[in-house]
Amino acid sequence: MSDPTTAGPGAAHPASQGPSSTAAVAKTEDNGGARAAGAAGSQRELSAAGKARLQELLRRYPTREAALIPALHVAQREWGGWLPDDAVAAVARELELPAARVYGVVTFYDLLHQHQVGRHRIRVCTNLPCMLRGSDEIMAAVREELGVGENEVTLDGRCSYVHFECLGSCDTAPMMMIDDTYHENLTPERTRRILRELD
Amino acid sequence: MAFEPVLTRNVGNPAALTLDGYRKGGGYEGLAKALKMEPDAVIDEVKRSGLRGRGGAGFSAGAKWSFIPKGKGKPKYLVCNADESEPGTFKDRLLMEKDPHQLIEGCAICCWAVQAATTYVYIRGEYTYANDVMEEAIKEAYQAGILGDSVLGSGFKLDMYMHQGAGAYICGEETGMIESLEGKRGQPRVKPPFPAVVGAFGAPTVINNVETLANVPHIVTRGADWFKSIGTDEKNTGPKLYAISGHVERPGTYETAIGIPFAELLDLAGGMYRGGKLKAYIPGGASAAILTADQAGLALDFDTMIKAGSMLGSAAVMVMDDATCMVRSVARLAKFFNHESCGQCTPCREGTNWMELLLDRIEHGKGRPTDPQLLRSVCKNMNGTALCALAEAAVGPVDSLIKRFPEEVERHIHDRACPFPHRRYFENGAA
Repeated sequence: MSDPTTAGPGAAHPASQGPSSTAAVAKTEDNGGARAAGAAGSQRELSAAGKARLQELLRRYPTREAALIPALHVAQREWGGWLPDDAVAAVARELELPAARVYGVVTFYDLLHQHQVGRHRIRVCTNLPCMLRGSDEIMAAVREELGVGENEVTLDGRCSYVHFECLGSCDTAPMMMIDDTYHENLTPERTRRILRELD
Repeated sequence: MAFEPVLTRNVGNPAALTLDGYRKGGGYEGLAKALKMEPDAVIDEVKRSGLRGRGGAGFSAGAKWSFIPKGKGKPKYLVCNADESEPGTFKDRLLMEKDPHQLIEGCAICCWAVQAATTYVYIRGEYTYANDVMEEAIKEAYQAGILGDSVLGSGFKLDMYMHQGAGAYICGEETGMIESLEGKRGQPRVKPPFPAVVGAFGAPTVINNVETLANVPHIVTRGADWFKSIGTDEKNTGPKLYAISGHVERPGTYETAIGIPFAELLDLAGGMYRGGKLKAYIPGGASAAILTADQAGLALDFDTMIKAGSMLGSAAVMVMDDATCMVRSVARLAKFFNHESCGQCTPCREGTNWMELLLDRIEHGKGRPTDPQLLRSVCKNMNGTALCALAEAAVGPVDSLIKRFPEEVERHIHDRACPFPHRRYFENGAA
């Protein structure tokens, strides 16, 4: 059996809101408990703080739609680092956009995740400047230390990792980003230590 | 004469992060001066300075501003391009993290010049720390009356907001950025109309890179003639940030007069990594054609690089020593472009995919004798056939690999293996 924590991405996206979304929720439940966080059938909303932040964001733009990417960042933080269907639905409702429009945006951007990620998200830069300073060995250290493949989540739900395109820190190569923090001038040894010290 | 830093003068002076500290060094004097000038006079001064866009295209900043229609009928916008995603580039992050008010001042002067009432600083989503620093500085600027209803008491109204992207190289392209700012997939638009006429939210929009705007306060304060006195010639003027990385001893951002020869920049960066020998360098980010060791004397300015068949681009200089496999290096860049192609135009979507596939198989000893010819044909079919410059950017390194390192490509195919031994950078896990 495949690793149960690597989520079941097979669920169809609800093309519209309303009655059909209930079916979509039921369908995601079949794909593993991880995707059905929150009470089944009920629509999870952004938190009060999240909604307040969204109102503040909306004042910055002449259209509601322009707040979509900032709103998805807010939702992703609230949903534990990724955007399950109910997070997408919540954002779509707040911004009065069809869910399909929101999915279109989510699938386009590397920092928005449709599938489950670890509590710590590790991005190892492997683009040319880092490659020229040993990022292959950093990537190997991460893989060995975590014991899972790219885009998979460790069994304890703690970490997931990906190779990433240039993170704009080439003067401190090789480097990786964990959640919002840059870790620079890495060696394989330091990389392992940093990973072990994550909570 | 030693070059006196302009853009990076506050790097190493953490006091400049605060408004008071920034003002002590003459900060916001440029904005005060600009507000006393006619907006058109500000545009003329910037035009006369010869300032060219530091994001990659090298287009005259003053000319760009002058395309914005006059009059108060429609709202106008400034979008500051802080999406810095060109591989090898890390200069804008430095400017935002170390001297946020310099950028705010540059944005404010630009807005006065084109009479825009709103700036969005579109920053790549990965730059969370730079975003925090900028947010803090913007807050302080509002409190001090530098932003808001009356900029420095002039009655000119200006709002400024940070807008965080979500990880997509293509959003650094002007119209891709506008689409993304509007809450859509960052797929570039058909041009014309250009953003100066129909930009963000259908309104006239200036889009300038961080470094370009950071130059503006100094041009206004010290004058176009001062700016023009720095650099190679009339068309390549002012100070320039060079982000140098790869096989050098001291990678980093170096500020010099524009047009420093590569060899001198390499010296500034401490020479070659672990005493290696220079094989090749890329002068302007992943999109620029590769130059070889015998071209090390070339001046790193816009026109010299074009003449050499490459480009200054974002001045992200990547250095490779003679133990570097060029096929593998270019294969990595091809993988990047394949990943980042937005998929809208067929030649780019399919072409970048073929580039990665072909270079990967050559690197792994599975290349066919006809592959170099096939790569040439892919390059030809991608040039000038897509909506934006990404396709041509992807061609840059691949085309130069085939032209300048043909024997190395042939050898991979002939030997059915990469001739370079697998390289280890760390012994026993330590540096």
